[in-house]
Amino acid sequence: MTLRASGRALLAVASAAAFAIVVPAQRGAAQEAGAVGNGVFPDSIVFGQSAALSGNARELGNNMRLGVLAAFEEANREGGVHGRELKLKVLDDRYEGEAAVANTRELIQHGVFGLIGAVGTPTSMVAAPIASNARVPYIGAFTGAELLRGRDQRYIVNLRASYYQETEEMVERLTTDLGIRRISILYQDDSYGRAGLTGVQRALDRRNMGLVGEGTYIRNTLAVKRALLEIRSQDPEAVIIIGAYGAAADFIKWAGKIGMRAKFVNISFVGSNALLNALGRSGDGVVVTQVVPFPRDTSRPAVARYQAALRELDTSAEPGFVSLEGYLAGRLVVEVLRTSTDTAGDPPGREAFLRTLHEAGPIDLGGFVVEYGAEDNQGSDNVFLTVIQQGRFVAVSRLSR
Amino acid sequence: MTSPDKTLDHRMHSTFEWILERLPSRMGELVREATGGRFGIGSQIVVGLGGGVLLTVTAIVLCLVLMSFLNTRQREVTETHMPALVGAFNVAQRSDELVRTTPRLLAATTPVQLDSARLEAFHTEAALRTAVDEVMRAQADEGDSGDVGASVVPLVDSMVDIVDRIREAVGSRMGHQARLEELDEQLSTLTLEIQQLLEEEIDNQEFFMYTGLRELTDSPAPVSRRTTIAELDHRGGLLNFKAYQNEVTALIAQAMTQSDPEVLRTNRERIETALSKGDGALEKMRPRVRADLESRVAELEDVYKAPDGVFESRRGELAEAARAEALAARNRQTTAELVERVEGLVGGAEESAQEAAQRSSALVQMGVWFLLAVTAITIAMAYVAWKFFGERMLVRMGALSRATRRMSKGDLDVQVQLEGNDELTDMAGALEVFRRHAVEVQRLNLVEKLAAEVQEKNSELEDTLENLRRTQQQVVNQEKLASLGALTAGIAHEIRNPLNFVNNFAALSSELIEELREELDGGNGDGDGEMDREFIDELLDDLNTNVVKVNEHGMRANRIVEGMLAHSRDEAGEVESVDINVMVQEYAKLAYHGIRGTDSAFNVDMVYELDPGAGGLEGIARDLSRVFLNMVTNACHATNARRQDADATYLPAVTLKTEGRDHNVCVTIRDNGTGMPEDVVSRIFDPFFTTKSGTEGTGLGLSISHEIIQEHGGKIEVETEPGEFTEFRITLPRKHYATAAVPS
Repeated sequence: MTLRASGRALLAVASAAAFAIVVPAQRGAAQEAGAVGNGVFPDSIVFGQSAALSGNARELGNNMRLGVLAAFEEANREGGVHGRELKLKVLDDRYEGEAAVANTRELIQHGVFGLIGAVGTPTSMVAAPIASNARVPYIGAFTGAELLRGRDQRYIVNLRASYYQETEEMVERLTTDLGIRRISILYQDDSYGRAGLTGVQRALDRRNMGLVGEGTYIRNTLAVKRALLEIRSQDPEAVIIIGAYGAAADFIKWAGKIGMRAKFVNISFVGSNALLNALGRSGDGVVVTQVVPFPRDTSRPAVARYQAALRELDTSAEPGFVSLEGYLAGRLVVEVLRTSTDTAGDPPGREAFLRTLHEAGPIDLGGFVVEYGAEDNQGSDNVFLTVIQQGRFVAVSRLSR
Repeated sequence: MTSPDKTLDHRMHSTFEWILERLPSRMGELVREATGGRFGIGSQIVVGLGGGVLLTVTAIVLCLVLMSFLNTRQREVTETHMPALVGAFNVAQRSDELVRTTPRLLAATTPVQLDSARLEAFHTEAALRTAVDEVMRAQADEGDSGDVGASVVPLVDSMVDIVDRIREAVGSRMGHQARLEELDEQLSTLTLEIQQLLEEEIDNQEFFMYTGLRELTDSPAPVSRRTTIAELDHRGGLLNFKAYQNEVTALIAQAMTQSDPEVLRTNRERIETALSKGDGALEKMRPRVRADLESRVAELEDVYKAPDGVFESRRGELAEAARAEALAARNRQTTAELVERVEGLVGGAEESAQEAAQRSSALVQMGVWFLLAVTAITIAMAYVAWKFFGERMLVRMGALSRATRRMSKGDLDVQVQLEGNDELTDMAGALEVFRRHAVEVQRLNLVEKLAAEVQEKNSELEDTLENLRRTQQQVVNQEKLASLGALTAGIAHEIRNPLNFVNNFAALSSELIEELREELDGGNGDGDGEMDREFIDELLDDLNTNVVKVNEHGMRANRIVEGMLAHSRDEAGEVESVDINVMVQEYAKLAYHGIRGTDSAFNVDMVYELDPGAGGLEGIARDLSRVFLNMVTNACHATNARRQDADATYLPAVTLKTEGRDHNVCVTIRDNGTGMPEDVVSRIFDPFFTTKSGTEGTGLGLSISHEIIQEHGGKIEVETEPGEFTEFRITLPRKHYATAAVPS
């Protein structure tokens, strides 16, 4: 309905003649549900985590959660941050992109300060942009995907070295230490696996080499045997595996069963402890690259604190690479939050948090140093080498036959 | 003072008197007493200012009356029309809000949004009903029947009913949507499980058929066991099932978003076909796997076919959406009706409010014009008042002041006349009296001053006259001295001749006396010592002759000197007989030698053509001799002047000619000198006119000559040619003084 023009004019005349007419302000459209806060509450700062708590990758999600919680609880025992308790709200995405998107949206609407400890490349790749658009920090995702690294990704805070750095280290060690020339690859047929594939190919290209062959398997299955047959036919000296621990363990075990003798090299993402458990006694000689220090190496203060914090949280929990990575991510958050303030004494907003992070220079988490900058959103470039020997991991700096 | 002003003044004052006469006698007396019976300055100011004040007060009173009218009108607008209009607007606004509820309901995607939209609709409805009530009340106040307001009510009821039903339909649709989302999730979980199961089983089966291995602990089966019919069937069943299952999943996913019910039905048939084919594939598998898959397929069928499965839910959702759309269409119809009625309502209220406002603004307009008119009249009146009293008073005072100032500076010509009958006219009259007195005094002073001046001028004139006379005498004397100067040289020459003779004879006589003494003392030089008487006598004779000669020449010198004295003597000459030839010759010579005496280079051929019978005449010799001396001198100067510029062939000549007639004598003096131009000829006899430079001439020679000739009754004629000649002809009567007695 519209008022006629003359009516409006008359109304104006009447108003001008000093007859005040109070027209009630138009009631605005129903507010969009879910006002977004910044996660800072009077007594707490809340973070969110969307990770695989069920499904084949559940070990990863659960351990990341454990590590982050260990760091948060440790900080809370010390009095929290700016007098506030750190809290973590966790949702299960079953290592599925769609669920990760839904969870991320829900957590942002819930008003978390930041997202931390996501697991997986396919999940992070779709969830990180959502966080970025909402200007919510996306911290310490358990992935080395290149797409989350580099310029113009201010809201994404990576802790670990990239997959490319890991694959570079793998190829470097295989070719240098062992003189291996024939390398094949088994990769999960998704963005994670393909990221690893690209990393390996680049590393080989740099050495004027090529893959002798490749095999793939479908995510969330253990269907690796056809790939095994394919790879065996190429007779490689080493197989780089970019996959989940279940499939990787099956592949290695069946390879042994059919008499294939090759060096198996896994990427950190495989989930080292789970892999160890799945391999059992047939795991000797299997190599895993790591992006965090060896979790039993208490000579590093960070690892010692981690072990203590973990025990404090769950007496039955065993130290592991994934929970250590979660712990380091949590520690990073605690350290940065503690050193940054908006105005004297106030807890920082998200932007202040990021500003502090980018301008802090090297941040020593206790023998594990990370550094960020305006153009650099990856904290650590370190790749560590571990080998399974007699049913447990051993940290090494070189490979041997 | 210009005449229109005078008329105006006059008219103004006569009008005042006219009014005074026509006033009632008592009042007239009062006015006369207050004003002194005339339109004085005080009265003029009172009338001017009083008029202005009266006008302003009138205007203010009229304005107040107008304002009170305006106030009444405005109150009518404020108290009656505005509430009705505001109410109508309120109804319009609420209706608008209510109408907008429906799209919001239809657009709601969550139950929360739906409920909030409905809640808002409730509030709007309540507000609308209140607004309608108000309008109806206002219409009743205005004497309207309130029909329009009342007619809105059923429409509102109808709309609210529709809104409720839409909400129901949308709510139901949302239920179906929620169910579909659940089913979608179930479907994807189920599909994932089936896929995992299938993939791993296919992987295992193919690995077995290739290696003969099923479990890590097994030893390889022989080749004959790896490729049995059963193994091949199992593998084929798995692969076929995978294909059908993919198809079913895709079809179900399609059904979830299908919006055409017809296509939805076709889709169902295709799903059933694919499922039955899948069942065929299952039959070829090994029992354990088959059982696993069969249970999953049953679940899948359930997801699709159950009463709350995909098919029914989607169908229900579409039906509810259609119902809501139909309701929305009905709602639009009702809305249109409501809008029309409400606009009628608003229009009515607007019209009456507009009329009232127009009346009110017409009054304002009138007030504005009235104020403008009052302003204009006030300005005009002020102008008139200023013209009649202020400016005129200023003009008159100005005239008075100017006149006073001018008088104070001594200008008494100005006459002050002010028409009218007030203080200014009094002052002007007084000033005029003063002026006349002043003029009289001034006139007397002037006469005295003039008399003194005349006296002074007279004595000055006398002095001048005396000076003039003295100067005249001096000039004449100078002329005489000048002509004497001219004579001196000539005279000196004349005297030197006799003196030479005297000296020579004296010297000769002295020698003779010496010889005589020697002879007397002892003879002469022959030595005999005896006197020779004869010789002595001879000597004495010679001596005697010498003495006679000396005496003769001395006499001659004496005559010359006497002549000169006579020439320069100041007293009047005596009339005597003059031999004209002798006089001409004598003075021509004197003039010639006078010039030669001062300028040895001078030479001229003096030609005498004297008539022997010229004879004499009676005249004053001294004066006539001056005439001839002057004339010949001029002639000689003229030739001398020409000679300066002429070549050697030029022979200066002055011709003197006498002519005797019966009663007169004519003397012509002609020279072949420079001649004279016309303009000089006409002025040669004027006193003090001279062509000679500096001290050579006094400019009186010819003028005195002319005078002398006229005194002798003669005349002088002149003929000349510049560069050729000049000829003066003097004619003198012989007996002028004989007949006309001797001048005193």
